[in-house]
Amino acid sequence: MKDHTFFSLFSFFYRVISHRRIFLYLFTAAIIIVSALILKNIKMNEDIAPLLPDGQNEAARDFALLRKAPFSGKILVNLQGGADTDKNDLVNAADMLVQAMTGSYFTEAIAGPVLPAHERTLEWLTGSIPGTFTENDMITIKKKLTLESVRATLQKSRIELASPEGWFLKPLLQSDPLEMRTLTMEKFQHLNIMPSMKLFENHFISADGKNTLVIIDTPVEITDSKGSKELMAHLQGLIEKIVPSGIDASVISAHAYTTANAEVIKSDLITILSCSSVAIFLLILAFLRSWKGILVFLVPSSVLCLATAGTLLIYDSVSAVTLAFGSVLLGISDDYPILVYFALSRKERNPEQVVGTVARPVLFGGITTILTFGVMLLSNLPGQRQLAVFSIIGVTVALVFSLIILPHLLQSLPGEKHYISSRAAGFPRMPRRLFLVLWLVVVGLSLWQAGKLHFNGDLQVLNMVPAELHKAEQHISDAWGDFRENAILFSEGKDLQSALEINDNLFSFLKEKIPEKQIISLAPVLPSEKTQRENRLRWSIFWSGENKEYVKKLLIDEGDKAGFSSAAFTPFFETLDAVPPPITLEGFKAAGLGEITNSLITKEEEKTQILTLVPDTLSTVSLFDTNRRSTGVRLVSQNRFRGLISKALVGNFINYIFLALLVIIISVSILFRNIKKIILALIPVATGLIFMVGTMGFTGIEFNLFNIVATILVIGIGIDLGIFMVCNVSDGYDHTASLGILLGGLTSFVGLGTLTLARHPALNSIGITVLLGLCGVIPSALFIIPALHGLTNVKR
Amino acid sequence: MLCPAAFSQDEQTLAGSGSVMGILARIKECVSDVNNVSSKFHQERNLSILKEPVISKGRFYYEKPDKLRWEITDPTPSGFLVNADKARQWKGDHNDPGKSFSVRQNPVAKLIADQIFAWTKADFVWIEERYTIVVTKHNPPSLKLIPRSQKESKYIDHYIISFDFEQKYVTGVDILEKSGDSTRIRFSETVVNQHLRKGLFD
Repeated sequence: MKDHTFFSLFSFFYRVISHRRIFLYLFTAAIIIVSALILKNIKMNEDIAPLLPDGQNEAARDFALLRKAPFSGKILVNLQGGADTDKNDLVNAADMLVQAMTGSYFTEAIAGPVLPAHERTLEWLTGSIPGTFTENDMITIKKKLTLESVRATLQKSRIELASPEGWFLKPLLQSDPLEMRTLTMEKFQHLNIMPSMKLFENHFISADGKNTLVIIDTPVEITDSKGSKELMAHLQGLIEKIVPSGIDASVISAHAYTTANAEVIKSDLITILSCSSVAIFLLILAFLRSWKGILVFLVPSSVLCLATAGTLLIYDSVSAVTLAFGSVLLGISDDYPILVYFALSRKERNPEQVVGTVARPVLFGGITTILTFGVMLLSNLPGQRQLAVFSIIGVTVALVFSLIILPHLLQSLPGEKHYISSRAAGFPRMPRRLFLVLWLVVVGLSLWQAGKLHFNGDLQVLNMVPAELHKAEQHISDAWGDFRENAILFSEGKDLQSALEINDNLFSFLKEKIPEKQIISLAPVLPSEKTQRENRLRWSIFWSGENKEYVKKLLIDEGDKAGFSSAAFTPFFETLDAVPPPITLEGFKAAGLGEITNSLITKEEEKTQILTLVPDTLSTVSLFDTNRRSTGVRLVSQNRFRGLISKALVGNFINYIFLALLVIIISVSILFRNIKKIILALIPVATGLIFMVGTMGFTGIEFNLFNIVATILVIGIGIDLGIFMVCNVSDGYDHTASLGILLGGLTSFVGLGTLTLARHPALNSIGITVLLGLCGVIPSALFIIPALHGLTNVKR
Repeated sequence: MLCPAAFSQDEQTLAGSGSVMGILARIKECVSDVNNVSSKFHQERNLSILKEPVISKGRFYYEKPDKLRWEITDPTPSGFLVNADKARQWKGDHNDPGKSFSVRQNPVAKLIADQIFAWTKADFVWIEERYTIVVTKHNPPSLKLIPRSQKESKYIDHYIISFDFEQKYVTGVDILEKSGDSTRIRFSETVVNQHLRKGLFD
């Protein structure tokens, strides 16, 4: 004991408390009751937000920007007709659905393009011609200034005056007899976010004529799982009630994902926590064969309660992923009470002394695990940081309960302490060399396959995508093209004008590089004041000289022939002489075009961003590498985002592994101060990691964001078992302790194994990879450490 | 041509007299059992931008609650129909598919449809919201509608809607603009609640 003065503190605690056990029990009960009370108001968060990067890194910024994309918060309902369904039936169904979208769940629903819905729109279109008058427009107008063209236009207008439409046409005809407003109207094609879509009776119709689309706006936030569930149920009810048989409706929206993920994760939670609790409890009872085994099980159970309560004291809500991680915590935190139980089970020893002795591996194992989890606090994923907090609290509580409370419970309560067998018969005696050869072969093969490991930064793989949603996604993509997969360019300025100027430059740059039709941009219809000045100047110059006189004469002469009075077009001639009005955002909105601007302009406190959409191709993305950042344009694309996350993933993985390994090496070095023991203690970690990545490489399982958590777990559990086993073999091999280590390993295996029962990809992925790691950790701790220890002793 | 001054005598606003309410109620009652209407129309537009008035003739059809067809046969065939939210406009022969659109999403079509439906159905709630109603003649009744909104009153001075209790339908509509321009529509040979041919509103 003299070498372990610090650990003798626990003997001291044991001795002091043994006279006041009742206070200890009361205090413990009080803590558990308080934490249970905190849990009464638990707010669970099932959305994907904690799994996404935050902070100021590039991936986090890209993600925040991606959420501003048009359609990102909308609900899309695709109506597909059968072979005999008429297009009219489809659009009728869409109309009926749109009309039913009333109430608090919906703010707007459209089945066709939102055409300017204001009587001033046409007037606005005419007024905006000078401000958008480009070089190309000048050429087009010049072509219209022929006798034949003007004659045909005026005759058409004369006929229209007799129709009901003509009741409202007069002011427009007077101010724009040449129909120059079509120039502006053509520019509106740049605001059509679904270019492959066709129109039938002003409804969205797919190219094959078999699908129509209803686009719905909702006030329900996509992160609101309860609201999303109610919204989806309400929508589904409306569809069932309204859409006639023979027309299939499929719905996609972020809300559907939120609902699916929340539902799955809730059911996973029940499965995982109940299965892991029962399995761990049965394992403990099977090994310990005493009612006192229940006391051992009480430690991880209490840990779960206290860790969740502790997390809730730090965070407003706890992520469902974190709660599901409770099964992992159950599996890890029971290692310490199990070890204490086995140590105290030997009657010949003085419990006070045993507590001091067992404190060394338990405390070191626990602290090393805490430090390993601590590495995750550096993560830029809030979910991973919360997991770290949850695990650190859990392991800390487990250590306190195991070393301070449990020994008293085990010693003071009546009953015998048993375990599965007092003989070593449970362990087959295999030749050491065979173990080592097998181990070397497995490690060698794993290292060889580890090179094939692929990192995947696609967050979608962590999302629950039910078959129905997957089918709907696929269907909508087939029918309408990947319009939601555009790359988005953000032109950012300190105010609207500076952002518009950048947007103008961007449009000019883009139209030289990619077909103009592929660019969705506000620039052609809402240029900056600077560009407008240039356009207005061009307009004024065009109409200042012979063109004006020529067109005046042409209109008067041809107008006269068509029956128009000589003063009919005076307003137009006055427009040519007047100072053209500026195009303003307010005017844009007043003309009924607010919906478009809302989709493509975002304003924050001190900056304005204008969105431009372009195809998300490699060549487009490469146009906006870091060299163009100085232009004030930032490109965000799903492809680039995946790349960024993958890159960050590799970087994080290397950093975490490096840091965690550094932590455990320092920790075991302080504990053992012996190079041989240090290396031996690290063997389970190294074997677990190598086996894990090797098997993943071999089987083609990709490494995702949550496998980082899995890696940390493998390191944490591996170092625990390594420390326990090295302590055991170096203090003279004790079979009882080995049983404890085996049971600890098995409960971890079971606790983590239940994660593989999860349907949620993130949880399932952690489960599978950690199980792979533990397949390397547990055998190497139980067999390789004793074998290598024995081998080196024999050699010596 | 009708002018506002012609209605200064004996004019009674909606709020001004119980007899006005009585006239409106009678008109309302009269049209309540009208399920469809078929009528010839004659439109004359006197516009300052034209040297001569524009005269057009054709046929108007209405079917309860939201179908209408305005078909010009002379001088240049063309037409416009509304069926609930759907609208279609054609030039030349009716077989020309023309262009279809949603009424809600076409401001001009909506304006036209709203006006015609309001007159046809004697929807005085809708009318009262937008116009000050003045009864200019009691029998046959004639109503003067003065726009309340600034946007409309910038161009339109007032409308005159003439009704015939016998025919159970509007006999004339006059649109008088601020500029002095006017549009005069007269309905004749009106047939109420007769069978209308199928596909008339498609």
